[in-house]
Amino acid sequence: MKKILIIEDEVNLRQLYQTEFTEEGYQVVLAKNGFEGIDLCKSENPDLVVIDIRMPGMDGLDAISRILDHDRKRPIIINSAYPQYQDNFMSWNADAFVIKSSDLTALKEKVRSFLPFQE
Amino acid sequence: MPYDLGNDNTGDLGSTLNPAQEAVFDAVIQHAPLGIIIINDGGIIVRSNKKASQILENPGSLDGRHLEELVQNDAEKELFLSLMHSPSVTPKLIKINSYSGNEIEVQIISCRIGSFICLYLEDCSKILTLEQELRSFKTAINSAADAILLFDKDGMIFFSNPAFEKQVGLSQEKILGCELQCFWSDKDSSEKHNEIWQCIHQARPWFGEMTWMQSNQSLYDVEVRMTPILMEEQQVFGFICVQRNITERKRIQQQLLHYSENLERLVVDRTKSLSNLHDITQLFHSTETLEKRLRLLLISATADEVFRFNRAFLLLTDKSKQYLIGRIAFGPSSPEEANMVWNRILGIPRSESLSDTLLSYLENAGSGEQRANQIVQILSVPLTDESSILVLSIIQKRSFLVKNGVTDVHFNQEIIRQLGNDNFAVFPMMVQDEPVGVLIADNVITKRPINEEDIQFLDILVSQAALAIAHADAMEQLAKKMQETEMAYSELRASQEKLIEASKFAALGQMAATVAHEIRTPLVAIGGFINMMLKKRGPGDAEYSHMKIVKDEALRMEDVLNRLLFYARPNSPFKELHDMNALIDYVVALLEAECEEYDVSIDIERDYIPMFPFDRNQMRQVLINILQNSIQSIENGGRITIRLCEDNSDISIKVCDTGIGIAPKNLSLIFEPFYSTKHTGTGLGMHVSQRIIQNHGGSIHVNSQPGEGTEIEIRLPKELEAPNEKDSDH
Repeated sequence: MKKILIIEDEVNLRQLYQTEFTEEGYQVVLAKNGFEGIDLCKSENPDLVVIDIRMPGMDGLDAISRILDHDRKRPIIINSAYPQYQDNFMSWNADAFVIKSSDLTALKEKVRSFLPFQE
Repeated sequence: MPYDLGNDNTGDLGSTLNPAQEAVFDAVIQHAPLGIIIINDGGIIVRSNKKASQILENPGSLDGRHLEELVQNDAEKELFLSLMHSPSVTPKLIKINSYSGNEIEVQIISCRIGSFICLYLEDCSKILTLEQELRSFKTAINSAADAILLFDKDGMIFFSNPAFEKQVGLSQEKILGCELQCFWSDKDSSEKHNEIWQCIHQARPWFGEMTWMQSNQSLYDVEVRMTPILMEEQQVFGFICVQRNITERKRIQQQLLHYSENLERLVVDRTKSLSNLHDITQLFHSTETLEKRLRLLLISATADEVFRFNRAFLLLTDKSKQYLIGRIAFGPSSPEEANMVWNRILGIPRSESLSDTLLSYLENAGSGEQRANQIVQILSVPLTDESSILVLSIIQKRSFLVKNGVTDVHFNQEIIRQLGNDNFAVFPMMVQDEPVGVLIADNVITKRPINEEDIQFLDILVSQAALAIAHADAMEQLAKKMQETEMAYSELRASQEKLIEASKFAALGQMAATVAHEIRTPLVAIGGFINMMLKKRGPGDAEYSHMKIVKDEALRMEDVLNRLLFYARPNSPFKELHDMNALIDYVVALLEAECEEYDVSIDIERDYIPMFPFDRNQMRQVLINILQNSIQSIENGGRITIRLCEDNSDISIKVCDTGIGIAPKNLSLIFEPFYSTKHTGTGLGMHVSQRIIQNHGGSIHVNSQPGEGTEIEIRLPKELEAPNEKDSDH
C-alpha cells in the first residue's frame, strides 16, 4: 500500500483528505505544518507528498526545499487556494499543482498519476 | 631902471630920509608881495622885508647881516656875489639851500640904486610844481585809452585827446570847433538826443550807451559819461565827455546771448530727450514679452518722435554665446517703401504721450515684409571674429560711428555690403559685461548725417534696452522652466496617482487574497464533506438533490474565488518571442463553443507580423477577456472583427464587435476594478487586462457607440523593454 503524506494546517481538511484518500486505497499520514511534515518525511518515508503553501510556522515552499534535501525523487503536489502558483510551480521544484477545491477529483487523479495502483 | 637913492654909499640908508619918508619907505618894503633885500657896497644887508625871510626860510630879520651868510656853500656865495657886482633886471632862477636846509628855487631880479643894490626875490617852487602837475595831467589825458572830449554848453568841442582822434579818424585841428552832434548817428533815437541836450542845458551829468559815427560814416558803440565842469562860482566852464568803445563788448554780448539761447534750447531739447528716454525705459519694463521689447527698441530708434533713424537692425547672442545672430529689423528698403511705411505709421492716431504713441506703433506697425528684415536674416557673426565692427563694439564696450566706411578702427567691410550703406552706427548691448546683442542704426533713405547727440542718447536707450531684453529673456526662460516643472509635476502627479491606484489595488488584492483563502478553506470542507455524503446516498435518496445544490454552489463560489485571486494579482509578464497570429487563432478556437452559443462569427484581418516578446499566458488571458466580453455583448447574433497590424514601433490589435456598445457614462468605468454589467462577472476582467497590457509597456483604448458596437485597441511595443512593475508577491 502506497503511503502519502498530507501537510495541511486546517483540521477539517486533514480529516476530509484522510477519509477520501484512505477510501482511495492509500495509507495516509497527516502533518499540520511544515516542521511536522519534514519530520514525518524522515520517519514515515512516504511515497508522495501533498502540501499546502500558506501555513503558520514554516510555509509550504520552505518545507518543499527541505523535503527535497532528504529525497529528490519523491513526488510533491502543491495543493493551494492561490491559483497564481499554478504558473510557476516548477520553479519551486514541485511536480504538480492542484487548486484547492471541494471537488477532490482533480487531486485524486493527479496523485494517481504518480502512484498507479499496485494490487 | 636903477633907482638912485642918494649918493651916500656909506650904507646908512635912513640918514637920507626924514622920519615920515622913512615910515612910508618902510611900509612899502614890508607890504611888497616880493621879497626885498637891499645891500650896500660892502655886501651888508641894510634893509629887508619879512617876505624875503620867508622865501629864504630864515628866521628873524636879515638886516645887518652879510649877504654871504644867507647861503650855505661857496657856489651859492659866488652866485650872490655876482648878483651884487653885476646886477640884472632879467629874472634869474637860482637854486639854493635854505637856512633850514631845504632846497628852494628863487627867481631874483637885482638892480643898483645909487650905492645900494636891491634884490627882488620870488619863490618859484610852487609854480614849478603846478607846471609839473599840468604836464602830468596832459600826458595822462593824451595817453588815456578812453576818448576824452571837452565841449562847451553849446556842444562845441574845444579839446580832444588822441584816443578820440584815432576813434573818429580825424586830426585834432579838424575836431576842435566841431559840434558834438556831428559825431552822433541816427541809430540812437531823437528822444535820447533830446535827453542828453536837456542834461547839458541843466548842467547835469549823463551816462549811457550811444552809437557814434566815424569820419568814414561807419558806426561804433560807446559807453558815454558826460559830466559838467564847474568853476568856483558854480559857473559852467564846459563839459567833459569820456567815452569807451563797446562795439566789441556788444558783439560779444550778442554772441553770448546767442550762445545762451542755444544753450537754453539745448537744455530744453536734452530734457525732452531725457524725458523721452525715461518714458521709453518705463515702457520697456511694462512690456511683457521679449518679442515686444525687441520691437519697441527698433520702433524707438526709428520713430519720428524719438531718434528718427531710417533703419534699425537687432542682433542677439545665441544661447551658447558663440554667435551674434540677426533677429529683427525695422525700416524701409527704398524711399518709396519709406513713404509707405511712414504713411502707414502717420495714419496711426498719435497721442499726447510718447508712451501711448510708441505703444500704438507697437500694436499697429507691421514688420517682416520689409527688406530690412531680409537683411537682418543674413547678419550672423561669430563672437570670436575680431575683424567685425559688431564684435569690436562688444569687445570694446562702446558704440562706433562709421562715416563713409571709416571709423577709428579697422574692420571687415562685409557689413557695408550687407547693409548697402557705409554710414551707420553700431551700439553694443551689454549686461554686466555679458554681451546681449548689437544694434545697428542708419539713415539710408534720408542720408541725414548721424551726429554725436544721436549716438549718445541711443547709447543710453540701448543699454537700458539690453537690460530689459536680458530680463525678458530670463523671464521667458524661467517661464519655460516653470512650464517644464509644471509638466514634470503633473507627470509626477499622474504617476503618483497610478502608484496610489496600484497600491490601493495591491492592498485590495492582498485583502481579497486573504479573504478568499479564509473563505475557501471552509468552502472546501463544506463541499468536500457534502461530496462524501453524496457518494453514500446515491441519486435515489430524498436529500440527494438538495445536497447536490450545496455541492454545486460551493463549487461556484470556489470558481469565483479562483477568478478573483488569479485576476487580482497578475504576475509581471514573462516576455518571450511568441507568434501573436498563432495566439489569436488559438483563442478564437478556444471560444468557438461560446461563439456558437451567441451566434457570433469572428473574422481575422491580419498583416504579416514578426514574432515579438510578450507573456503568452497573460496575453491569452487578455484576449479571452476581451473576446468574451465582445461575444457576450452581442444579442441576436453578430460579428467580431480582429485586426492585427504593425504600426511604427507598436503592434496593434483591434477587436470590433457589433454588440450593444457601452454608454458614454460607463466608458470611463470599464477599467475600474469590480465594475461589471454581467450577472456572472467578477468586474475584474478588463481591469486585469489593462494592468497586463500596461505591464507589457503597452496601452489599451476603448471606443464605443451604444447600439452600434465597441472597438478595443491594444497596442504593444515590438521591442523588448524593461518591465515597468515587478510583482514580487508569491
